[in-house]
Amino acid sequence: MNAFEASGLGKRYGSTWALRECTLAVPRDHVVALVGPNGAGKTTLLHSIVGLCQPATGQVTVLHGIPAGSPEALERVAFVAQNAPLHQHLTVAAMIELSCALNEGFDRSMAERRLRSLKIPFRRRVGRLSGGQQAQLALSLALGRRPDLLVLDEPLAPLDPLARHEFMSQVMEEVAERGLSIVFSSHVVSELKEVADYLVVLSEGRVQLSGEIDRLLAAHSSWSGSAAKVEAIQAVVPVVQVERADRYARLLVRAPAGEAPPGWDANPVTIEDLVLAYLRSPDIQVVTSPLALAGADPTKWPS
Amino acid sequence: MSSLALAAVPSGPARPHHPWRRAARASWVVHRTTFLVLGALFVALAAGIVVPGLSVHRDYAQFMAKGCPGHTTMKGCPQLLAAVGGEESFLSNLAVLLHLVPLVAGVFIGAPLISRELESSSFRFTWTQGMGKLRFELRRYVLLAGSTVVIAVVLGLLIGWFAHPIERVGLTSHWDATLFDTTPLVLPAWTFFSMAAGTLIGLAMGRTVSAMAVTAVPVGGLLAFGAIPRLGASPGLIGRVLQLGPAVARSKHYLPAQPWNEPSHGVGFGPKGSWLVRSWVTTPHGRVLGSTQAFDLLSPRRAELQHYSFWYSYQPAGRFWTFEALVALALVIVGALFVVALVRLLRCNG
Repeated sequence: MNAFEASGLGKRYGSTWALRECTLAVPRDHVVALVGPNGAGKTTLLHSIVGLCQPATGQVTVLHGIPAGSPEALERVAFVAQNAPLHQHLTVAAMIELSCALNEGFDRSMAERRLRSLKIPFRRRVGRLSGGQQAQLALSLALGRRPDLLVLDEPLAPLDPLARHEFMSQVMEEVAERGLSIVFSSHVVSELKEVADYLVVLSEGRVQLSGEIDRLLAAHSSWSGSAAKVEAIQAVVPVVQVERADRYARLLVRAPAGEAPPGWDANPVTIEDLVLAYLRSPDIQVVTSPLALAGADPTKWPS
Repeated sequence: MSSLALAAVPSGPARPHHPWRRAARASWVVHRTTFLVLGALFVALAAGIVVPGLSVHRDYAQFMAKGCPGHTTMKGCPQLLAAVGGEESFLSNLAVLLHLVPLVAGVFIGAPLISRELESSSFRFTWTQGMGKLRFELRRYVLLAGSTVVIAVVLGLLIGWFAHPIERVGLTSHWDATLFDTTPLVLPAWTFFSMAAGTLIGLAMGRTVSAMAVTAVPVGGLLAFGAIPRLGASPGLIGRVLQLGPAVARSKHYLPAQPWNEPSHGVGFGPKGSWLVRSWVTTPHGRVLGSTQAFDLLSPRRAELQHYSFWYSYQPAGRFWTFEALVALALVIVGALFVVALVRLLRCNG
């Protein structure tokens, strides 16, 4: 069962394609990190998932086939937009009231207790809360809807390190207790491993890589050896990135460390290495499923 | 167990409410200030009509009880007539003021309705809630537009009530340009039109102040163009556009004495209760007199006016509500087209 599925998704702003031929399926019960440089199409993809933008081509479904943005989807998908754009002139209490009115079955007591535990004053206007408090308020209101899929657009961007930690702790606590699916976009690659277990890399409006993080890391490795053999290795395994220094080369390959050719050092990669390598090589073939991560065939190594 | 874990204990879903009740609740939360200001303005305007209106009606009742109609020179009658007629200028000002109701609705309620959400990005919150973009925006529009329309109906009834005695003594006419647009039929239609125009412009522009300014120009212009030029007894702009074929009547073969000032007809209103569209005078040989010559005929030489004919082209009193209905219908149709465009734009938005 998929948390969301995009098929041939395309969205154009004027003459610029924000997303093009974007096809991927993300299974449920994962915390999905959506990463990519500015302008990669992350926000557009998330807006398509929550029905905020109409795709020019293709379609998006959520929670196993429900059209994104449909009344049923809106009942079950909650969204926290970038910078938590709430009604600045309303008080916290009024925002809770508004959420109750806009969502049938909104869990008011849960949202209120969560906000009390965070010491967020109910009578204060939203515009007078700190960035961290606004983000926490937006998260509490989203969680109060008891969604099956929670979509977060750059939730950590405006937060300081402490607030980031608190925010993600709350999210992970909810995942542990309720088992909801989460999709969030982020620039903070180093923190992904701690919270996400599924990765989608977007670049120039296309999906470059997607899959469970553990499987992706296991399926990639960093090989170091003679620069003279780089071309021969490229003929056998998919090489994501090549770094040369004199006679030595370091490759990030789509193959497990144990399949490195004789005489080469093989090391595991970090998620940061993996993401940066893909982002630096936007032409690398799209990988949309872990099954597509074929290992190397050692019988084909050059002698 | 931590407090957070406690907080996550489900308290069960809230009792489902009617979607319109939920929309009303949401609209009240977001637009509480607007509703309160609207209510205060309504109460102030209503009080401003009712309080002097009671005095006018009291004087008019005495005027009738004394049998003053037709005997205006009778003792006490001129004073009572002056008391009733003294409110005519206040009525005119009140009617002009009521023209601001649609303008205020369009500029201060319609235009910011969606543009403020777009400008502040809070639409990313509102439109992704369970109620959904289209359902929330339409219900909110209907509730706010409905409130302003109801207020316009009540204000239209009140000003009609206020104007009734002044009209009965022939000192004003409901065909008057300023009064024509303030009936309980046309004033709400203007309000609906203005709200629809403002909301559509707000959605299209996405900037609150710009949308308010852009709404004010055409809506205010149309209202002013219809109301301000009080060229005798004439309905508003749209009434003139929709003008039905006027009746043409001829007076007897002599020009009635001071027809322009005959109280039973009203000042320049042609036959009683009618809308005088045009008038002219012909000689016994059928030649149409120029306006200067016609004016001269009203001088003391009027005794010599035998066999001159006074013609007037007019809309009979019985057509008043037909005109009103046509004007209201035209405004509602255009407003409804704006609402259709609003829905289409909301569907495509993104």
